[in-house]
Amino acid sequence: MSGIVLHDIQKSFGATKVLRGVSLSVAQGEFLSLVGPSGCGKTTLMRIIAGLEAVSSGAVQIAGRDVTALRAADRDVAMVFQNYALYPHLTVRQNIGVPLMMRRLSAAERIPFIGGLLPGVAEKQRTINADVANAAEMLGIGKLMDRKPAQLSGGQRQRVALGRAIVRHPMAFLMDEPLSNLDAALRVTTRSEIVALHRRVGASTVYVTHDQSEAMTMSDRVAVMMDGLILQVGTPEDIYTNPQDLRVAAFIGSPSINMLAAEVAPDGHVTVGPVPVGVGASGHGPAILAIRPEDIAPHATGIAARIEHQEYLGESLLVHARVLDSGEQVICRLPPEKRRQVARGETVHLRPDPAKALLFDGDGRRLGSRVLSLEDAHG
Amino acid sequence: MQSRPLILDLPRLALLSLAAFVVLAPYIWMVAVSVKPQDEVFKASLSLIPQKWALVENYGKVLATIPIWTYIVNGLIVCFGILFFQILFAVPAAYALAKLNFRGRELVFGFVMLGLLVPYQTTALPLYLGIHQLGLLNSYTALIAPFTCSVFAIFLFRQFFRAIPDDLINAARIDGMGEFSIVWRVVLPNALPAATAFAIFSVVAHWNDLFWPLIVIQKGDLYTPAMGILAFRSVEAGEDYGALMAAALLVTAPLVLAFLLAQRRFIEGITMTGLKG
Ligand SMILES: Nc1ncnc2c1ncn2[C@@H]1O[C@H](COP(=O)(O)OP(=O)(O)OP(=O)(O)O)[C@@H](O)[C@H]1O
Ligand SMILES: [Mg+2]
Repeated sequence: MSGIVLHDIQKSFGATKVLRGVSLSVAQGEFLSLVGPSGCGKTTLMRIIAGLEAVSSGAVQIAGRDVTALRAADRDVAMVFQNYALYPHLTVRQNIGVPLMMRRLSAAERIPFIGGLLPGVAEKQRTINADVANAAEMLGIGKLMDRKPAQLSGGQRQRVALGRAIVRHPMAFLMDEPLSNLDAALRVTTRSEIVALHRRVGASTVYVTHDQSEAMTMSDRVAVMMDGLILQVGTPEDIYTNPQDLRVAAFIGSPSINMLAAEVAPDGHVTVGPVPVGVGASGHGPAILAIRPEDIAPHATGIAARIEHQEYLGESLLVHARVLDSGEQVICRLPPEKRRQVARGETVHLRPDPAKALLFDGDGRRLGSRVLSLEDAHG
Repeated sequence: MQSRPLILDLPRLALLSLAAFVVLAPYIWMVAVSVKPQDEVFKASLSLIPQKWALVENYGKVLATIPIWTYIVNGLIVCFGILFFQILFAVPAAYALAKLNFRGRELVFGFVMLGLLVPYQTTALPLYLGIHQLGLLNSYTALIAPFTCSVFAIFLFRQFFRAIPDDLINAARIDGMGEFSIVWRVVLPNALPAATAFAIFSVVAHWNDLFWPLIVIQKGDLYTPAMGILAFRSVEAGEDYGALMAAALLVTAPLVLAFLLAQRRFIEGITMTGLKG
């Protein structure tokens, strides 16, 4: 059974189309990250899944049920907001308890003071308190239960927000950049805690971030979104090594992928400028050769480039070079001990690894390619 | 916190005390007159302490002449009745105007703004006729009903609610709250400073109001406190300033007391930090 299924979701605000046909399915218990540049519609999509925003067209299913027309309250999803959105006037205990109180107590039973006198309420209140205590225990915030949100640090507020989300065991979890207000160190530890929490809770999770390292490290699958469309969904490895769209290739990876203007000759051999690169493709005409920094290195022969500067990162060395013919910028990631072998201003010949080279057409669509031996290429 | 030496604060304190004295002077004078016998009130000399105390006479006269406790209870019923309905109606309306998107919202808000421009005396006559036709003259309803929809309250709360983050309301929706739960459980508790400020404004205005009660109330047992004071300005009784001031003091005392209590609450409300990242 599927967790969350989106069918061709479209959304416009007035004349601006923000989502232009998004289809996506998140399996039961899966952790899916949604990444994309600012303004591409990630938050809008989350709000649509949560039921905070109506679709212009399309359908949303959660756990096999069409929820497109349901209010947020009836959808059984939980959401963690970027600024946590805790109730400032309630204690941590009350904050975490709100979703349970709203679901387990009737309207009459929720009335302050009087509601507590109704039969059975005390018992229900006890189970709520027990569940709240459980969730708090899981998140290590048991000691903060009587504080108000204003008396908590950012990381603690984050945990309370998580607690409020997990306490009712929702069908689906939505998190919109939940770590972006934390400092770098806390972000890394919280990252792994969220992953561990997800394993324990096991609900389908959509996690929005514009930090691709978060997306790559945490997720089962990553969806890359741009301009209101999902360009590709796949495992982190798939997205990184096998992007189907030039924009995906360019968005994922840091430093970003190198792009070189290339030409597919009528016989299918790919050349960059005059240099054959050992890659074959079907069809012919101009193309773009994309290659990750770690997959291109100086070699005896190859694309002539002048080294402009280098960055020593400890575990690796980034060499910035400029291709002599075209003026394109190329970054190579080399083992750090190469540091003394390459010098600024020197001309080198760069050879992309044919097995790793990615070929795209002029519209950014991926082209099929195969490795040729360089003898073939010369022949 | 490091405390500054007193000497540095002295000029400021002196200035504040002076300003406070100017503001309080009429009230202090009222207190003084309320314990003076009639002949001392018009003495040329300015003295706060009477030569002959007339405390018992003046206050005794007030308590003997008018049922001041009845009036005060009436005042409480009317003021809190008005405040209750004002909050009941204005808070959801202001929430809708501040946070919900619906067709015609700006138009409705335009009417609210327009309503702010109309002084309530202009509507007094049609209201009186309406209440007369309903046979509701001389009733609490006549005193309360015309004020239950306060455009000022709607405007004030709407401005305040706009500052409440949308995500807080979205979080409440996801937690299972309907719009009315959101209004009373999330929005109003986070707008307590505004609510307190409005409550002070409303209660003071209606406690002291003389215009409307004089129009709709003729029966003595429904008199409001402000009307009670009039008994000492009547032609028959002559102008008894000592008793008049004593009555005024008794009538304003609950207000002063309530304000002092609300003021603490008010400051708490402000220091209760709102939403922070
Ligand atoms: N209520 C709205 N009315 C009009 N336009 C909106 C509204 N909400 C969002 N938009 C527009 O929709 C687009 C997508 O916004 P959205 O918040 O979904 O982006 P995002 O991917 O979450 O960006 P970020 O990474 O910066 O959070 C933006 O161009 C934004 O201006
Ligand atoms: Mg966003």
